[in-house]
Amino acid sequence: MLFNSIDFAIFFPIVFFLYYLVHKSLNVRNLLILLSSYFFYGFWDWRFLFLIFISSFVDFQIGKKMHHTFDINKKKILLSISLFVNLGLLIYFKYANFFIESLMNSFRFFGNNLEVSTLKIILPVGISFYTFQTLSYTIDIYNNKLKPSNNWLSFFSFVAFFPQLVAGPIERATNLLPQFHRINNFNYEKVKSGLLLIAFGLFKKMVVADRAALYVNEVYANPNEFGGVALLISTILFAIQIYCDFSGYTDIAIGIARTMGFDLLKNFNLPYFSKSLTDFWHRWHISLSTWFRDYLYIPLGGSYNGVNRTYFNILIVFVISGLWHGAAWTFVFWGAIHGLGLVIEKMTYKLRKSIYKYLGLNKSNYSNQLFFSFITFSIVCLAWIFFRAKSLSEAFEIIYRIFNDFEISNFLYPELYLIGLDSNEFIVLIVSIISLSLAEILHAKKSLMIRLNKNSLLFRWFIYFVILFAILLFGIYGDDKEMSFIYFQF
Amino acid sequence: MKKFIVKILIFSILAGVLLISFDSFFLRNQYGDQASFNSFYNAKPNTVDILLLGNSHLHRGIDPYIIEAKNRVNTEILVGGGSTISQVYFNLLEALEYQSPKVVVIETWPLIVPNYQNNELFDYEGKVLVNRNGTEYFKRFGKIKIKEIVLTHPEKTWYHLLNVIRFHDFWKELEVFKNSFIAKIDNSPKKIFHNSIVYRNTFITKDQISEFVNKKFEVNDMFVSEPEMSYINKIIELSKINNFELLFITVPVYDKYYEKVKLGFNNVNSQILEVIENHKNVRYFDINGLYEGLDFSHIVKERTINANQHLNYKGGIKVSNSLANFININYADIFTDVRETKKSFEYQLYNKNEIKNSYNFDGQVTKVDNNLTNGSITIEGWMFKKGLNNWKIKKGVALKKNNDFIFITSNQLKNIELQDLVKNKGNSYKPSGYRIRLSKFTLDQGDYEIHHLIESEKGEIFTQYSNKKISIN
Repeated sequence: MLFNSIDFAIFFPIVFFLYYLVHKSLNVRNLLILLSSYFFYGFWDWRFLFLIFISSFVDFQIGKKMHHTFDINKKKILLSISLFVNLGLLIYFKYANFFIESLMNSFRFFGNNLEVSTLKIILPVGISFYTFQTLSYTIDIYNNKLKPSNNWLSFFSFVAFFPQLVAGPIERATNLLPQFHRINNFNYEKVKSGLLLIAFGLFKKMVVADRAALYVNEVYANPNEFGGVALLISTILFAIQIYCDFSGYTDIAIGIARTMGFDLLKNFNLPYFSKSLTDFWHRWHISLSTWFRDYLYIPLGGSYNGVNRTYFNILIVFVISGLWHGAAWTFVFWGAIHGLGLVIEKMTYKLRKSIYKYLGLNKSNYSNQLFFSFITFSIVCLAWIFFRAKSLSEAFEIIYRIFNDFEISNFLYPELYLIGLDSNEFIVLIVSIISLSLAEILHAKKSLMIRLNKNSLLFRWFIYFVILFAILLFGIYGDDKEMSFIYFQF
Repeated sequence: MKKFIVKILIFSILAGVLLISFDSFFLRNQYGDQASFNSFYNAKPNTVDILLLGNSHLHRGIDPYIIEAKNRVNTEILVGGGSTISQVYFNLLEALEYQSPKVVVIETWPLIVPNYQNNELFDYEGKVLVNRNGTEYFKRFGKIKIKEIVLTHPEKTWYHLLNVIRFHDFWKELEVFKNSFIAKIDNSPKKIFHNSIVYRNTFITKDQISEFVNKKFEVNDMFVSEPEMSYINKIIELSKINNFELLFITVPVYDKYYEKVKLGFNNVNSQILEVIENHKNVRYFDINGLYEGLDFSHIVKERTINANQHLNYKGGIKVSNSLANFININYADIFTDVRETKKSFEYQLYNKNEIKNSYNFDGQVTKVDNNLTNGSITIEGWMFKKGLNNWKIKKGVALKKNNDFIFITSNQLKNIELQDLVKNKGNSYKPSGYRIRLSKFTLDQGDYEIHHLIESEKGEIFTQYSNKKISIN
């Protein structure tokens, strides 16, 4: 079920009102959450519900057993079973064909022909997200950071919690699971701010992301037909699209959970205003980057085993992070670019610091901040090319064209802005991007809800109606137009 | 929680009211059809005497002002380009929510249209199988609209229920939406609808005539399908319940086309006659059969040559007069109420053997040129109404052959400045000069009186006979 669909618009109010009818009885409430989450997921394809069930069942049992044993070897075996089941399912459904194809390509490269037919596998929506979420549970118990849940209903609800089931934020059991053990009374302010966040997320998705997608899809469908300027514009628009798509989804997820009294992790914090790649990864998909930090980077040794090992660990983490996003070499490359960028940043830290000092560049200065943000955004966009392109060769071709088929005078051609869009649509896109940026900057300084609450009821309602009608009039929806969220494919 | 529920309810009600209020502004209207619905909704409740329903053939073929002028009744037309008989039925249901007409006229092209797909546009329940231009969007939000949308759009009903949502991206085609917006806010949408009839003065070209002659047309799929028949019966049932006379009519097609498909037309005619024969309040007037189709000069020039032809203004005048006369003869005893004077040129000109000159109407025809070599007619002259700001009046010229053919035009008048006139009469006469150029084929053969017409800003109509005539051979 998509958040931007009429099905969800019917589903959510029903769940919401039922939820507050039964919220005082913890078990009934959690049962309602579990059933509605399974319905939400099964609405897409009920057959894959068993994967979530298996994952939940295995980890619930292993968690309990692991807690009751003091034998470290037994603990290791139990953790291995959890990893094997969860990662096994993930690898089978997401990476089996990728590995088969890569193997065949390797044989072909060395002049041998290996013919293995690929498997007909459908990728279950959100498998990467809920697998990581359940893994964090068993790993935390293994590391004695968490006590296992004794209530299977709470645990199963935690794994399948529908607001964040298919695309995060990837919750830690330490943060979310205890919330299934407490009663959430109706909190008017929380519900109001949750609803506003949902509206904000829908605006990001339906008005900005899906409209930018019209341009991006047109260019990236046949990149060879476009010059450097069009490719550059479409890459920048893709950066905007993916941000609004994913952070829009996250806003809706956090908003839905908030209306039900749950607090989810923050996932984005103005990532395109980052002053370095390190900064970017503190602001982009925070729940994933902290997951990789805690469950991969640190177990690999983090930065405690020398400089070279640190660089290696960073590279490994980002390559795997790329692979987590998608089973294709383009994603691996995307991750590698970020990893390499971070390594270079670390390697040149002292050098850069002395250069900045010599040139009198202060990162807190506004114009300098803008300069560093521009540089970071450019690198992020370069990496997005690999993320969006259909193949590595296509990505390199796009980069080649941007640099070699670039005529600055082309920016003056109006047709260039009307690829996949008409002139009114382009104006709406630009105006909505500017409005959104201003709203996000203001929100970062002081919550929009707090700002709104200081105003009269009339003004607040006027703003609510403006947002509602902006979504209704400028949103992309209709006959077969509901666009899925990009991160659903991961 | 109570506070929240109350606020959510108030917010939802306000949002709903806003959405429904704006609903009728959100339409993609390219055919002037919306003007016919706006005109209908503008009419005072229970004042419409004759209601006409159909599709574009009715829109182009019947001039409501002529029906009103000749019968002294109130007439409204509800049309939608490409409407099916199921849509006609729902339009009638909607109309009966507001009006109680004495005569309902149903144009039957939706039944005749010779394309088997059109006979299978919907099933027995009215579910649309092939979606076409939908008149459901023209309707006001209410039970009939909801009923029709639920039937015609069983999937994504929510999307089609409100025009604000269905046409939410209207801002992408502002030019297209301008017409429906103007039609919506205009005080006299009936005139907008009427203009879309009188402005159409082209006719089929020589090349198109030969295309018609050479083209093959199928007659096998010209029949009334069973679902269509069920809707005819539903319409007849409504006529009994609501106590109105029902008249099925045909609007003529091009005679060269008709020659080829006469069998098909007769097939549909006999099916309709068979259904209605046992109902005393139902009649059938086959205007197309009466004329055996109309010649090229009555059919508007269209881009493609196919079975779907529309009348031009000349054809419309002829057919509207035929229908008006038929109603006059057959339903005279029904229309006993005398309706208030209408503000239309037609109302002032029809049914009068001698048209009186309005007080203080000054004017003269200075040139009548009937050019035989290229077949064009040029009329020049001037008209002036004292006591009015003549810069703001609407000028028109009527060419009256008899009480069954009056060609009225205002859009074809080109303003010209007659310097001698201004010198003699003063600057206020500057806007009074005009010139008209017409093809002789836009008129019937015969002698025509030339009348001057002025409509004031307030909508008052003034007439003057110029004492000049023109002969068309």
